[in-house]
Amino acid sequence: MASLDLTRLLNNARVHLPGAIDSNLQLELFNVLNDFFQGSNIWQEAISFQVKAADLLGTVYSIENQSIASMVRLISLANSAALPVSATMAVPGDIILNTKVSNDDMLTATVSLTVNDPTTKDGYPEFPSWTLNKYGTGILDGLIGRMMMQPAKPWTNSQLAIFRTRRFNGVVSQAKFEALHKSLNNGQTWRFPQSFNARRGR
Amino acid sequence: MLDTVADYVRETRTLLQDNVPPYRYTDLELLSALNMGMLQARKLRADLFLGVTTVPTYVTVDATAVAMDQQYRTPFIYFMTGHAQLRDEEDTVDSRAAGFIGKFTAQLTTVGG
Repeated sequence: MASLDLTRLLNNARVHLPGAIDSNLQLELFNVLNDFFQGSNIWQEAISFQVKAADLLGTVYSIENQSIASMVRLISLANSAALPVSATMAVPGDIILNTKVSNDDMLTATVSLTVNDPTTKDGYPEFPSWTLNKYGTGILDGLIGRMMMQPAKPWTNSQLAIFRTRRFNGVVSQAKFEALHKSLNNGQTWRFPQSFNARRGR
Repeated sequence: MLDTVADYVRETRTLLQDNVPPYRYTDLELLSALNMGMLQARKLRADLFLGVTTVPTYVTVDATAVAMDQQYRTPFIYFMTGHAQLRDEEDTVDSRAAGFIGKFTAQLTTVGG
């Protein structure tokens, strides 16, 4: 069963989208959550894995996240002394170190995640409930925006779709900023001026 | 209530003023109209058939549930009525049939239809 927050989100969406059916809302909700998590890196997970000094350069270390989610990108990689280790993850889950390690060690990769295929009986994807609590209105904007972009539906409204999507993009940007600074109040306050945000004009 | 194939046919007969046997429009003709309405709805509103690989068809007027969201059941009555009245009969006119089919389309694609 959908959580209270999710129920509220869908009820809000139903009010703004006359005639919309739940399976369509569910479909677009998945897309919106995917956009939100991929764009913001707000959903992160730390995964530890063993490396050996004898491993050749170019060795692929496969890691798997515990959450029911898809891996998006490598946020950071650190050794057991919490020092950064240079690496790439061209294929999600496959880490390749840029330099050999000198000692056997346990590395910790922090990766960002996004929603995966729904696994619950009611068809909703799993994701951290606090994200919906914190960014619920922004996600609602994204959902309504995507729904209103659908052609030839009772709720189609291209003007409002642009407005809602713009607001959603703002929340993705805010979440990305907060993910970067771990939601620290009074941390780095400078943000790229939004009037120069080239994506807005498109 | 508008849940089963029999409900759809009953409501359509009301609009057609064809409630007393022997019927002017047979059950098979109205079933055919319902099935064609499904095909038309699939074209206009694919979202109504999410998770369905083939458009449902119905073969008998019975208690079989018609798989359709509650909000969009009434337009099918209009389509079935319009489609039935497209037949060349003395008691009907084409504009009335077109009006019903237009109402079906409008209700599926606009708010105020």
